[in-house]
Amino acid sequence: MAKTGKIRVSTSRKVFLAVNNVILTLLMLSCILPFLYMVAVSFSNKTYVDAGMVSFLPKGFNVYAYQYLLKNVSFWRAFGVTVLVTVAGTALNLIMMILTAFPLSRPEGRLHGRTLYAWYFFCTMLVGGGMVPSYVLKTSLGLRNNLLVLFVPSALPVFSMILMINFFRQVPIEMEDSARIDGAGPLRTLLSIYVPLSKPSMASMALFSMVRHWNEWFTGMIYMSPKLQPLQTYLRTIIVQEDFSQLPVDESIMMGSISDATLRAAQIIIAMLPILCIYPFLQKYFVKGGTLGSVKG
Amino acid sequence: MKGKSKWTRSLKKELPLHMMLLPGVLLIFIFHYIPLYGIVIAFQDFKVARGLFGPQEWIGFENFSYLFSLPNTWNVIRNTVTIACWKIVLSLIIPIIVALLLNEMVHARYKKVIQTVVYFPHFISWVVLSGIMFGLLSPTTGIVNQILQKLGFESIYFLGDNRYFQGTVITSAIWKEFGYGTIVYLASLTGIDPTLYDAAAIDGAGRLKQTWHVTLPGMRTIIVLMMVLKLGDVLDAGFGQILNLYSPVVYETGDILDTMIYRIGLAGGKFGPSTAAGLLKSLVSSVLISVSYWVAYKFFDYKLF
Repeated sequence: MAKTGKIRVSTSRKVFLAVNNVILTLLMLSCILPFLYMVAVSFSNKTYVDAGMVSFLPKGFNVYAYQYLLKNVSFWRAFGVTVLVTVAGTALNLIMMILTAFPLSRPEGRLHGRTLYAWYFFCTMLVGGGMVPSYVLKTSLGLRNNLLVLFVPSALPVFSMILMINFFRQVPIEMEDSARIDGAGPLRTLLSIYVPLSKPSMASMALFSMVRHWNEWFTGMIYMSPKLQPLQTYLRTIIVQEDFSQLPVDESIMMGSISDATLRAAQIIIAMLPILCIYPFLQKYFVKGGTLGSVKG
Repeated sequence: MKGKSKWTRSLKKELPLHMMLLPGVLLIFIFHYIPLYGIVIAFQDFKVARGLFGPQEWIGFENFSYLFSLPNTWNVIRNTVTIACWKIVLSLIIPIIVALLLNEMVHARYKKVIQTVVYFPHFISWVVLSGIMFGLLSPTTGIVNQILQKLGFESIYFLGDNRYFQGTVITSAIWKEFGYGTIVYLASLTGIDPTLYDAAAIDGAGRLKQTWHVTLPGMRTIIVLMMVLKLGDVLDAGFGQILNLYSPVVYETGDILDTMIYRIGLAGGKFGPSTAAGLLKSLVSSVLISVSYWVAYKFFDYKLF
């Protein structure tokens, strides 16, 4: 609709566009600068950080915080736990969502009791037991200090599963009919027709699941001992509780240039890197995953 | 007889589908419906050692009266509703404005860059963001206060002062999510018939009038729908965010239902009162969510599936 703009652009329109650009640029900067600040702090000398002299560029550039971080066993153990949980959790999420969404996506009459099943799952979005009952249950199931607690109870995210139902519905039903005539059972039909045809949606679901698992900290905080904590829970102990008991003393040489603040910044940056790496893909798929199905109005 | 055999035949044919549903049904039963039964803890003097299904002492509504004998309860409810309502309103308005502004942008590539960047905070956890906020907003070394001081203002303890805590929480939550919210509205803008703009222009409508008379009415359905669907969040002030940002100094303005439930229960070991508070909260929320879905379904033909 800006096509007609070439002919004659009024002054007020020009002013508006300039102001508009400024506002949006400021908004964009507000989303970059906080992260840039962390990067700057992580590469700065502690003297400047403690004096509040670091803005968005490192002062007294050094990589000591990262060198020190390389040797930090607790950090990398937590990192390992999170990688493991993210891989296992994402795989399990996809399997469970595909298996559940496919039968529920069948049209009326091809699955008796479909409405009942649908309500069974939908109700979980309306009511829940709350924090304490599920804590008591998981504890009595022996899930304390058990890596399974980080991805098994959440193996079937109902809202995402519902989105997947809608993806499967977009596959023409004739596909299933012709597969059946060729002798394929439902599982075969699902795996060799429906899943491949919904690849973009599967990809977006997988990416969202990865982010969810990567960012999980609460479960780790209440169920896991320090040795089995996922990364975000570990980060929380150094950020919110400011617990630096893991800092060994013999690092005093470097300690001249690194401090709690620079170390914290370095760990935050490393913990965000994986998200940054998959961000281009998230960007590509998440318009689909985020809006499709949820908003058809 | 004949009907029965038909039933068994269809069951046999559909058996693979039922088998596919079985793992999900079991999982949800264990981790959702059993905790739902656990609500009985709210009416018990719950002893963990005796187990969820063990012989517990029933004490009626004692946990509830304990809850309302606490000095802060009403304050906590007020904080929750205040923070949640501000978040609901602003998380609706800001993304609409940003979408409209983005829509006016002439440079397509710059527009894309902005869009790409503003979604980013959505994918970062509150743990990391709280770390960044502690750094940025620190009253001594944080850059925000350095700037304030250079401009001649007193430095502000954003996260440790009851006058500023709610504002900081609301602003940072909106900052994290506005980019994500924008895509929904941008998507709805593409659905507006471009000839409507031409018609409006011929009738002498300027850009502002076009926005008012064409763009906004075109987005009306989606705006109202989003409003309705947010109704269920009235008691959700953002547990993950506040648990990472607050401290005892700001409990007066920052403590919300979920953090209170967490502190009484999991951190404090008073399982009965904590469950009671959770039950009250989820009763209200469930009703609101159900109503919102019903309204969305009835008036906007919104179907989840």
